[in-house]
Amino acid sequence: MKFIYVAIKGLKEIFRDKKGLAFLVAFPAIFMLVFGLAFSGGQGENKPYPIGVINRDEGVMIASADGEQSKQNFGNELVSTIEELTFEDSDASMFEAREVGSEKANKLLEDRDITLLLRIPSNFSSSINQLIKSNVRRTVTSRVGEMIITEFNSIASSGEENFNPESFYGGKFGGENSNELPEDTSLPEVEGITSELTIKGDPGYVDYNKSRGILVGVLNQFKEGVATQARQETSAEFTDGPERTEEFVKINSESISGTQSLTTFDYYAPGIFIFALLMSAIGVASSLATEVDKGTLERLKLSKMSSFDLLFGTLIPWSISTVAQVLILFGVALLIGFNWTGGLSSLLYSVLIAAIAGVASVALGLLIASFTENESQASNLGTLISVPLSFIVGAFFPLPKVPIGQIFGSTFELYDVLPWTHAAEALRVLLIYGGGISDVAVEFGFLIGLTVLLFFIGVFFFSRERLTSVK
Amino acid sequence: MTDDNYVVKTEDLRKAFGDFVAVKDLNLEVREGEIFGFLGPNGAGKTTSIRMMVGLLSPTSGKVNFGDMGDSLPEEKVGVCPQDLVLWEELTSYENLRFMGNMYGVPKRKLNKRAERVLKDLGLTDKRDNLASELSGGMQRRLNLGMSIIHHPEIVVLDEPSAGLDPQSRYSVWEYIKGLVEEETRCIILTTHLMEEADRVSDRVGIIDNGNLKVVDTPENLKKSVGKGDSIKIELEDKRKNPEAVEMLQSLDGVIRTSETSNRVVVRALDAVGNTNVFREKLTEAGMTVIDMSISQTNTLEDVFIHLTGRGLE
Repeated sequence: MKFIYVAIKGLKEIFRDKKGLAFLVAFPAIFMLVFGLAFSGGQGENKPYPIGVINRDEGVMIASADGEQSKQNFGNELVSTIEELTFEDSDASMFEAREVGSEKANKLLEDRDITLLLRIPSNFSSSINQLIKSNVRRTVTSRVGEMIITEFNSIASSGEENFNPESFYGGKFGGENSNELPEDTSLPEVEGITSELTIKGDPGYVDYNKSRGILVGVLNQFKEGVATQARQETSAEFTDGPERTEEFVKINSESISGTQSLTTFDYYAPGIFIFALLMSAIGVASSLATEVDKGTLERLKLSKMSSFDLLFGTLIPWSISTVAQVLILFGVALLIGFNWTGGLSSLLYSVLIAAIAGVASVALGLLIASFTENESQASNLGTLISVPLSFIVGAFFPLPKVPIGQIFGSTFELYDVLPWTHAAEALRVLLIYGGGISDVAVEFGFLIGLTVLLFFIGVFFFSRERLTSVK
Repeated sequence: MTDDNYVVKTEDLRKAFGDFVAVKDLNLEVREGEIFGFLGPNGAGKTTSIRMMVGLLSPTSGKVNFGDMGDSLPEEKVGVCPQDLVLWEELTSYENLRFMGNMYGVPKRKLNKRAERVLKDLGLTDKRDNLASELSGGMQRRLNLGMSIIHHPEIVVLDEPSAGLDPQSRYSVWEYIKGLVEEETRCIILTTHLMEEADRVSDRVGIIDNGNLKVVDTPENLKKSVGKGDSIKIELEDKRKNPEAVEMLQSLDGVIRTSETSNRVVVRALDAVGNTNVFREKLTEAGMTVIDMSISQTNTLEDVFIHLTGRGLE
């Protein structure tokens, strides 16, 4: 329980140290203010983003419900979907897409005639077809599994001695009243075809970041829409509902929530939260390095205090301060016109995510304090690490992609090993696009996992370097 | 020298940092109810010795025993007052004391009373709610001391407890230290480079130099050990002539020994007052200009140190 005394002491120190507190709160708040005033004008009106498209999709032959083969080009559908997007509560198109040749594309990008270039590969339709097949297969196997269990239960309860496979199988697959098997009962084979869409542009160009953010959301919606549609259509085959005559894939274009008045500042604000949280690592490192430098840590080591008491007692006040910091930053952002979308839940989830990112910053502070002897060193090294990190985690603009593998079907970038990358992305989804917690579940999971990992690394090094006696 | 009534006993305690041996085979006993003073110049090995004695530093060889408490000392049994001011500047005097008490697991009710008592004894009651950063240097030094005894330790280790204090604060700290061992602690070990502090506060003094414990005894016995005669300190205008003066004065009648200490020529001689003029004349004849000459008829611990090492404490 001594960690409580350490935590109370830490809180008193944080809130009584006026200079430190000013750095912790005022610096990011001023940064937010300056950024807000400079960029809140932004695009202002609902002007479409000009984008270039190179659509090389060759299409794919798909069998419809009655077995007829027809060629489908999902690349064209995607382009149509993008063209149909409008700003919220407005008829104005969000994108002005035009087909461009690859030889002209670079020139258009350099001249900023287009904000980005979307390249759709030749196998895009094939990969979407595989996505559909995969979802069909999953739905069928799931449904058949349910039927088998139900039928077995039925046989068991009736006490029937002679097992009749027809009565077990027929009459279920293809509708409850049908006693005939459907014509084609084979499951679609799924091949591992992956298509890679490329978005090219200048990361230093504000409109690139804005249009890219929206476009990535649209592409994900497109993918999810296809998969959902496939599952729904397949499920319908197992029920008595009316025959579905729609095409296998249908994408509904929806406006992206909150985009009606997005400004440059709106895109940057979540990143500034992350920047502020990373700055708190300097405070933690300086505070701990001061304990080392002034000998108070040695004095504590002489007492009955354990490593856990010190580390947990340090974690609590700094986590509280980071939550307070986020709330203040949020307040400043709203005051200067930050367009916060979503309800109160988005705010609460954002605070939760920020608090976890704050814990990650405390862990980073522990790590920095492990290798610095005094406040000055900690402050310098902390700045040297935290400031570049805020760029690396994409707080201000995305860095070039550096994929290092696939996890849960998603490409894992080099920057994804840092918890703040996921926090930044999750905050954007929650605050800019009005997403819910389910939309950031993966980012949230990575954030927690990586924060715990980083905290243990920080604890390990700090304990090894600072909490063992100088023997 | 052995005594069964010891609280701390070191046997061949040695600490080496690479090739440098900071403490060489320290054999020592600190007895029940005594204040033991380590006297020596800066870098003599005092702090290293006490850090090993309370388990803050592992010895390279040798061992420490704590009498009825065994080979290891529980944290709550020892209180260490570091040489530097080690305070949480953003906490008040009272909060600093309470925080350390909590870290030592002192029960809340007992701790509140204890903190008030320590503040009173150290003359800090008026500064109870002042931040440590707002206290004067002397007050901070006293609070530093208070934080080391807040948990009522049996062994108190004070590293240069009165460093940087004005004379008035220094005397009050000395009185407080003497009161501690009379009322509540089993023994106090202090390090100092101030001969007056060692002399006035310590029951026994160990003189340490270059990691070697030269001698251990009461201040009175140590001063007697210097021998007969008075001490005359002579300062020459040209310090380069000190060795020549040491050699010349050594050959005079009545001179017991001579040495050069802290840029001065130190002469121990019988009838020092009567010989002063003789010494001055001889030095002048040899072309040396005397700019100061002082006589001490009472031996000090510095004389003991000079006697043992041939050097001064400064």
